[in-house]
Amino acid sequence: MSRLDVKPAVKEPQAPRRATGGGRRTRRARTSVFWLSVPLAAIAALVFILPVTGLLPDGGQNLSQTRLPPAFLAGGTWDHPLGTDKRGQDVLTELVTSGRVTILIGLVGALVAIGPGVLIGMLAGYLRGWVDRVISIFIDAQLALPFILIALAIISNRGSSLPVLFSVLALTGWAACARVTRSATRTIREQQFILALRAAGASETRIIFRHVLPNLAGTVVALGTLQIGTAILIESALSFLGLGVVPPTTSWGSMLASGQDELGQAWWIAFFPGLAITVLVLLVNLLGDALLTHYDPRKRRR
Amino acid sequence: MSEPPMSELLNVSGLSITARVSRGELRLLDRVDLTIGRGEIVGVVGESGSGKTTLSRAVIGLLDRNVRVDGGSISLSGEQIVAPGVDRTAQIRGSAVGMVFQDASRSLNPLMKVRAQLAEVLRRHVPGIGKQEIERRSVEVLEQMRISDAARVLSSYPHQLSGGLRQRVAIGLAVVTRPSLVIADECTTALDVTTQTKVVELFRTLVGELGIGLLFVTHDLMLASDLCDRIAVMNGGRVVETGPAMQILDRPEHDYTRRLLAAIPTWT
Amino acid sequence: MRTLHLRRTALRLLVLLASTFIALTTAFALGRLSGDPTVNILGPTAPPEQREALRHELGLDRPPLTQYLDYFRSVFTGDFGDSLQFYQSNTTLILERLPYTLQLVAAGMTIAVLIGVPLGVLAATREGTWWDRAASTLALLGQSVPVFWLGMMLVALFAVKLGWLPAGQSGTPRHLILPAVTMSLYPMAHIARLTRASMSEALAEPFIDSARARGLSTAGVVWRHAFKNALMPVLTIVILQTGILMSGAVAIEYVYSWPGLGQLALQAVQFRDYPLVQAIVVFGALTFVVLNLLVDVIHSIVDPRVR
Repeated sequence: MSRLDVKPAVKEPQAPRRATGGGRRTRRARTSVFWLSVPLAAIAALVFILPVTGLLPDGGQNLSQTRLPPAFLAGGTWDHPLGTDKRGQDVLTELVTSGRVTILIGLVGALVAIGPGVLIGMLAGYLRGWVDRVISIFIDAQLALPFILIALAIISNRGSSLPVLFSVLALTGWAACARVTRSATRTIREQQFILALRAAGASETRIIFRHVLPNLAGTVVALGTLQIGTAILIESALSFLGLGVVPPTTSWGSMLASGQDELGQAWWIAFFPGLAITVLVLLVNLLGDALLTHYDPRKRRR
Repeated sequence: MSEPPMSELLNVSGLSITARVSRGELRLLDRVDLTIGRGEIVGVVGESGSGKTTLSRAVIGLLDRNVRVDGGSISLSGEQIVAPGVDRTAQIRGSAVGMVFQDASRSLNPLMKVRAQLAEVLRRHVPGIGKQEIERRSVEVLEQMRISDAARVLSSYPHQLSGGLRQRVAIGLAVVTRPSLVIADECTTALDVTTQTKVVELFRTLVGELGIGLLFVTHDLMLASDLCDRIAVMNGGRVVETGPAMQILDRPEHDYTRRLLAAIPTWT
Repeated sequence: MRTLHLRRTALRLLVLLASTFIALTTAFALGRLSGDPTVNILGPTAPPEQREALRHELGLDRPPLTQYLDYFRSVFTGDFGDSLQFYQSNTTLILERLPYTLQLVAAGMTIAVLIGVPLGVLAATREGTWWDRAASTLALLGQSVPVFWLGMMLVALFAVKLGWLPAGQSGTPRHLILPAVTMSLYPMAHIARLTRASMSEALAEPFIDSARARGLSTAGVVWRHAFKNALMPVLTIVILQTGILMSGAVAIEYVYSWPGLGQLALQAVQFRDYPLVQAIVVFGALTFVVLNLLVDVIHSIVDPRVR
């Protein structure tokens, strides 16, 4: 074919298909992702479905059955498997009800952090130059600020409420997401197909949104997962201090607050919500870590 | 130690090495034979994956954890140091055998001055050595490396030296303990041609002056033929041909060697 | 060479100043611009005159630019006005409680480093073995536990049930044990993970191979060559984490009734003591700036390449 046969329009080079290889580490990561998603999905299902099944003990106050220990301890009964609190409310029911709040806040809290975080990080990583420098200063400035300061500043002004809570989560979380996204974007940007696209004259906006962003999808999912854990921990801490969810809404964090008074007499009131938080956050963190390993854009070079 | 036969320094005999990988087992070396005599330069030439690096690491005992020797042996000056189940390389590492790596810039600890790194090696292998002796030998070895400004180099950090100087320091670190055998593992690969020539020249002088044996690992057949007395060509974990350098070039016997030679671009 | 060095230092100082500026401005914006604090302080049913009076007293009725400048002036003079709740100078209050929090943070961080670093090094030298994986999972667990819950459980066990240690307040060194241990958990886990990653990277560097080829002992190689090189990022995190520990301090001081800054901040928010909260927030922001500066200084001392 003669070199004079010029194609009429410039076609965009195809992005390379994701390398499905990887070594033992990525294979192990993939099995972890699977095995972790199962209990997580189970927890989510339980928390949202159980209340409607009627299997749970009554949720109301029952002043004749206050401070009952869990079923497997002396004095407990299987009517209230995890015991009751100082007003006779069943701990298990409360755990499930509050769990919905905790999980939902965790999910939304992660989203409000990833949204701006990923966007800003992507811009910084792709555009580089002074834009990157300025954004990086902001990222570093925010990363070292403890979340409590941000929370205190806002709450002292507006009091605690759900919007305030989400603001705190967003302001605390965006920087970590931005930083990871930024370095992932930088790696992607250096790859051959992006260079080819730029050489072919594709617009920067198009490149960023149609080519870079999809390749970031995996990292973003991993980040989001980890951010859920962070959001849950922050919300729990704030609710515990009375700065988070507002009664009558309860979350696992606020359950811990009421449990604190009863530490000597009814330690189980505080024990189970805290355990629940630990297990959930641990699972989420393990999942997020596995996802990060799986979707590491550096992997392609190896 | 009993007197070894006059000329023989390194004797690799029927060496077989296997690696355990996720998919099973991989033969890295298959019944490899190689000898090096005192004052002799032997080149091991092959492409990536031919097993030449495995061989050099086997001699000094730096194989990975999942790699094992399952046949043959390696002897240094008549004493067996490697065999299935036998690993006495710790005794010779850095003392009787020295190794120079590919990227000298990265062979040196960036946070330590040259003087400290040389001192560390000397203190390790020469028990009871004093500060003055350390300084004297450090200066001596740098001068052997044809480094004119030894005092300045000693007081410098690696990043303050040029690439060529760093390479010489790395070689100096390997020979300061006066080893009988030096292994050079692709240490000219990352260099430009001019520096390459200088380093090769340095090796030649060292062998002449110190009487060491040199195991020169490279993928560059032309370079090997320039420097080495004998050459072993490796492919797929086996030694396919050995012989005097000139013979390998002029009358290659094995098919692979011929292909290697054919792949070298000629200028005239 | 000297001018290049000076330029770089000047640039770093500039970046630091910019970060400080941003941190303080953020604190200002969050504190003032997110709404009208008088609503929160007095409640929604308060008469407008009362609100106006309060706004005037807090200086909120002045134009934003004046407020901003006043804000920075108070940062420089160290005068943040008086607390609404204690009728004392905010600065005095903060300085009174500061030593207690410092005690707690120092103790917690010391424990975290003393246990976390060796754990990380151990995991790195045994990389890939089940040791490593167990340590990593444990570290991850440490970062998943709500710290204040752990504090409560420790109190329930060691103070209430067993009676070995006091349940709260400060006083004797024994009072410091539980809070410090609780405080150390999260940074310990983080430091362990980071040390492991950092050591692992250092051990994979070519000069390690070269060092081993010179016959240096494994211990010598690990400690003198790998560790020194791995130290830098760990040191950075240790210093920065000390700032993060302030977040943990609030909840932990609450659980243990420890009379530090965290407890003060909580009281301030609960009583809607607006000026005091603002003062604490600024203080916190300034602390992080100082810590960042410390990191930069240490960086240039330890790493000759930076000089």
